[in-house]
Amino acid sequence: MIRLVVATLAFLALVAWWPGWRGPEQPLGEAVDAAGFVARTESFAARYQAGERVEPPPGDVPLLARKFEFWPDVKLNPQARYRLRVMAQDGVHSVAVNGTEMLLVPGYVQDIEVVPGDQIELRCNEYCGLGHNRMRLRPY
Amino acid sequence: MSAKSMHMQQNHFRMLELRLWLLLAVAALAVAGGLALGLALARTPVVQDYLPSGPAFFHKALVTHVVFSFQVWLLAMLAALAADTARLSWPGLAGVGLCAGGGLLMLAVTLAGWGEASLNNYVPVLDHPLYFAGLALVGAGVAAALWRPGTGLAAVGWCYAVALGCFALAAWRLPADLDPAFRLERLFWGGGHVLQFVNTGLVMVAWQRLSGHQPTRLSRLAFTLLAVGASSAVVVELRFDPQGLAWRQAYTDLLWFMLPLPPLLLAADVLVSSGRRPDWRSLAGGALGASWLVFALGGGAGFALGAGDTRTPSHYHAMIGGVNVALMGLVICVLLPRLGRPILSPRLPRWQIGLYGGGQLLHALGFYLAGLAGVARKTAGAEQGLDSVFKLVSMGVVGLGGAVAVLGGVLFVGQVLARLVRHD
Repeated sequence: MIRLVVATLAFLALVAWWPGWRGPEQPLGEAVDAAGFVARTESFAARYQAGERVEPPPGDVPLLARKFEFWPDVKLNPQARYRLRVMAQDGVHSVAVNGTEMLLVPGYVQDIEVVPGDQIELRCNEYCGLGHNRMRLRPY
Repeated sequence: MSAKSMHMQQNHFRMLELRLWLLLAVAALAVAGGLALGLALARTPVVQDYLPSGPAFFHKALVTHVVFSFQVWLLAMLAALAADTARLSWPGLAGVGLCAGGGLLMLAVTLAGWGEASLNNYVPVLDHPLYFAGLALVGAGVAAALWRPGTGLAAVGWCYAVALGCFALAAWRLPADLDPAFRLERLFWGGGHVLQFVNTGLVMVAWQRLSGHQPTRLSRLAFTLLAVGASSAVVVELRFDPQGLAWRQAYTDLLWFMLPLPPLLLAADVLVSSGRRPDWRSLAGGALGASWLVFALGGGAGFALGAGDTRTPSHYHAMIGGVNVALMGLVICVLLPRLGRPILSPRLPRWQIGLYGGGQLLHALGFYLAGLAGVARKTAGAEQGLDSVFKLVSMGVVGLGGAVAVLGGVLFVGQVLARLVRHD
């Protein structure tokens, strides 16, 4: 009986101490028409293709997360400001940038703000298949 | 039948069960070692074309290598500890049969090349019904051994029940039409985290028995806190959607906040409140100290992980190394003598444990340094991007440490199997 009381008290104390269950569910981002977003990304990539990479001007940059790449392979200017708009194309992925992780789901766009001086790297952080660890983008 | 002969018969079955679980545990390590050889062959030109599923055998062998060297070995050792003190032997004997059947089934699926490999966290699998059936048999066999009277492992048994509950709940809550990689990752994420409470409980019991330490109030509190920590998974399941990010991160948080205290309390108890400090010069004391060192370094590394780099394997190789050093010491110093099959010369076991523990430490250190330099985990060859001397040297240390640890592991398997199968 005493052990049960101790266990119950310990359970309540530990759960009160542990922050894991208190955080809110993370938002999935802005709902979009998935097929339309894919078409816009393809035309954006074609417009700013420069050799093997895509060099977009400052501003919004649409990106697709798919097995096992972030596409297109963009090259950013480290002194410019961008808003990367990322959507998963073929299933669930995630991206962790500057210590913040966002889940990427088809039909929802997550935004990543890139300011001058940032040296970000996009890396999938949700297991998505055997090539998962290859899935990263170094935009500089 | 007289009380004395009944007692003798009971003891006979207990020793038989203990021997069978030990055989199964060490055989799992031997199979994992054989599959590690398969990993090398799967990357060898020409030879790879003769393997059951060609070059794809690499990932299939890797999956089963991890399952045998991590899940089957550790769970079979837990069952062996239960067998050592349990009052009833028949559930354990049935359990060892189920577990062996499950292991053989998984091995057969691997060698036949069936199912796609999924390198999801904690319990990687081959996506084939027979592979899942094999896993279920192993899970049921260990449950049969744990959930019976007199094992002295009530808290660990409770953690194991919570882990199985999490697996079942995830299977029920995750839709079947999800992308297979995502579904398998989420299926084994929650229960896989709770299994770390089971593994921590296992190493805590190993420390207790290695030190010959009797339970005290403090050690009971440590095990109660372990069971309570694992129970917090219920809160995660009630609160979050298993497809969301918060659910995944809550489990990571669970280990950060709930797991460090119980082994620290138990270690403190063994050190200060027993009145009988471990003899560090003895083999058992040396194994205990080495286990604490490797386990503590791995635990510390767990608080300074990166995202997707080799600091993660550094953390878990050191943690597993710490657990394994304690279990190796326990088998050699406690369980084999209990079976009347002691290893007579302490010299070889001393070398063996030193090689294994030291090798794992080097292996983990190399991984940690490589991770700091940005080397991605679970990659090989050109994918690793070893474009600096620091990265090259770090990964060289990984290879050297791994080779030394494998040598220690092979010595352990060889000497223990020899003692277990020999007719005395």
